[in-house]
Amino acid sequence: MASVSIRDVMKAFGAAKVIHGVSVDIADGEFVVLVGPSGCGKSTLLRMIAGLEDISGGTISIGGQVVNDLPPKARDISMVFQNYALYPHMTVAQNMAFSLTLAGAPAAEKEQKVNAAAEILGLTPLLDRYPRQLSGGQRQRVAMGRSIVRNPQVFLFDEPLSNLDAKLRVSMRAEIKALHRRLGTTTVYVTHDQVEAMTLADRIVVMQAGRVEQAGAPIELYDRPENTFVAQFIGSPSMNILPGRRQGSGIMLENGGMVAASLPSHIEEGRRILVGKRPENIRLADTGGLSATVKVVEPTGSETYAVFDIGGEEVVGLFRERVELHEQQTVRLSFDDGPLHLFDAETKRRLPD
Amino acid sequence: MRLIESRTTFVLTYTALAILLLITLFPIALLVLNSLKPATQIVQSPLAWPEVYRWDNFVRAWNDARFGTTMLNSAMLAALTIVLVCSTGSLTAYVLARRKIKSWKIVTFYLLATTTAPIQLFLFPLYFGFAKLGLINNVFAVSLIYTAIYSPFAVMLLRTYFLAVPKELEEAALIDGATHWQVFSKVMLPIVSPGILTVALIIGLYSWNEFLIATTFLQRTDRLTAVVSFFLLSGQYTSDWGEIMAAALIIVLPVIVLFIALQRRFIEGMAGGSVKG
Ligand SMILES: Nc1ncnc2c1ncn2[C@@H]1O[C@H](COP(=O)(O)OP(=O)(O)OP(=O)(O)O)[C@@H](O)[C@H]1O
Ligand SMILES: [Mg+2]
Repeated sequence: MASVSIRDVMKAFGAAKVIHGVSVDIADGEFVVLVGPSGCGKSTLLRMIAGLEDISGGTISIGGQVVNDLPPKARDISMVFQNYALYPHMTVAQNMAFSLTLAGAPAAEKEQKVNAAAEILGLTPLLDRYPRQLSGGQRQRVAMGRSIVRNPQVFLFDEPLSNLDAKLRVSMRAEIKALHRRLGTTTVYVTHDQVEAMTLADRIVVMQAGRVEQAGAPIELYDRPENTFVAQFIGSPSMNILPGRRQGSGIMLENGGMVAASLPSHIEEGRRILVGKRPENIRLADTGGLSATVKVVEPTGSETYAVFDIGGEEVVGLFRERVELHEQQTVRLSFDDGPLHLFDAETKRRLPD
Repeated sequence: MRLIESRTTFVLTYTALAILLLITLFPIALLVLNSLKPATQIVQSPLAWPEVYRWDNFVRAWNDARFGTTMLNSAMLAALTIVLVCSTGSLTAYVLARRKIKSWKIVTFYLLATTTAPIQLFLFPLYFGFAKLGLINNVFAVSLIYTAIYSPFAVMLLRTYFLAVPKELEEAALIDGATHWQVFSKVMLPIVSPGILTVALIIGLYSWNEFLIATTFLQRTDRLTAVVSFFLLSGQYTSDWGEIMAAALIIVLPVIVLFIALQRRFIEGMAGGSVKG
């Protein structure tokens, strides 16, 4: 096990710069999830840690040793790929033991390690099968088994669950989490699924367009997003963001509504700000609040999801209790429950309290 | 309605297949039939059933064409060519498929251009060159020529097999601690083995059947290939058609047996299941 330190790392493919100076410190045994929209450079960063891509600038160290110029096999890492990348001509056992075979390990040691890993992952009855004879979930497990057998310093995962169906994804997610608890190996995990990120991570690194937007514990990111991108990326459905101006002890929204808020004194009167409100903090009110028209109602049974129109702007609400809503109905919405997130209108950054 | 339609399609498909099968099998059937007849009956009625079975046609064919020696020569030539083409071809194809080579297009053009050049163009310069080097009547030297001629085809075909292997497999192997050579030999080669087998079969067939180069470079009687000695049967022994038919059958038999035996492996891809599916 080891810490991983990423310092000002840059990556360019020819003239195209895709990572612009990323710095992340990953503690020994930590489970860090890289999230971000498609094409933001998550895989590229992971592959640089693995040694599958050259590092154009900055340094990456594993366990205190700079690994920039080390080939993948010298970095003592393992990687689980999105498509699993199992060797089709080898059985499950041979797949898992391949690294040991290459290292010239004795047969007894291979067998013992493969059996131990198979035991953990419930693969024991499948050891003699070929990858083509396995289901997607089983292949996924073999790919993880291959990593475990190597007992590396760092586990790397690149969207390992995205080829599985929704139900399997949830159960594999729990297995990965349990595995990490059991082995305690430093893990870097790439996904674009924010639920996966929230549930698995000790710390989430949100990336966008080759930059780190924010890094922190899942709840920290949810409660105190540093900017509107993180605010809208973390949480589902994503946070409502409405433009407005300070007016006295409240905010005059551009769509006409007035939101009462205890604003910090450094925000001058009339300053343009963005107001963020999570859908789950929106309440229906009898009096006061903002007047809104219901556009869409989607009850899922456990909760009700609704889209409202407030003066031409869409606001999403998520209600845990049963609510009587129908389309075109006019209702009043209260923003009083839960925190109000304030961002600068220009920089989109969070305003200090 | 659907049932009738599908039955019509069924009948049409099988009729077409049956006709094709007949067209394919007819010459072979004729060969088998006539290899058992005396020459006189072949000339009179080539389609008739043999009146007497002349099994000795085969014995005479075997002895006159000295298949004991010449088939061995042919087999050696084919085997050498297969080994050379597959080993050099797979390495080349892997490099062309994987390493980002900017001039790949030029290489492709070169490879394609060489396949279009007629062999007669090189035959005489090559002959004199080989004669100077003392390489006439040398099976290995001829297999080198074959390798040069068949390599472009082999490289192009194998390249597509290598391209079909997901890049992640190599990366996984690199992470597992493989050297580049081990990635090639332990991961890539087994996966593209159906492709290599295909190439081996086709190259084997080509070199087994090749005539022009074989007859030019292998002229000593103990170095002749089966096809060349088969050719020498006619004329030399006043064209005994029964014997010639038998000789032809002896030459094609190993080819047919090989194809029937390897047909399954031929078709079956091994890459299934490596990645999501
Ligand atoms: N080999 C390459 N050559 C050129 N550009 C590349 C290469 N690989 C990736 N890129 C570019 O780098 C950027 C980041 O790619 P990357 O694969 O890291 O994205 P990602 O965050 O993993 O996205 P996804 O969620 O879709 O997997 C993309 O804009 C992509 O087009
Ligand atoms: Mg990716």
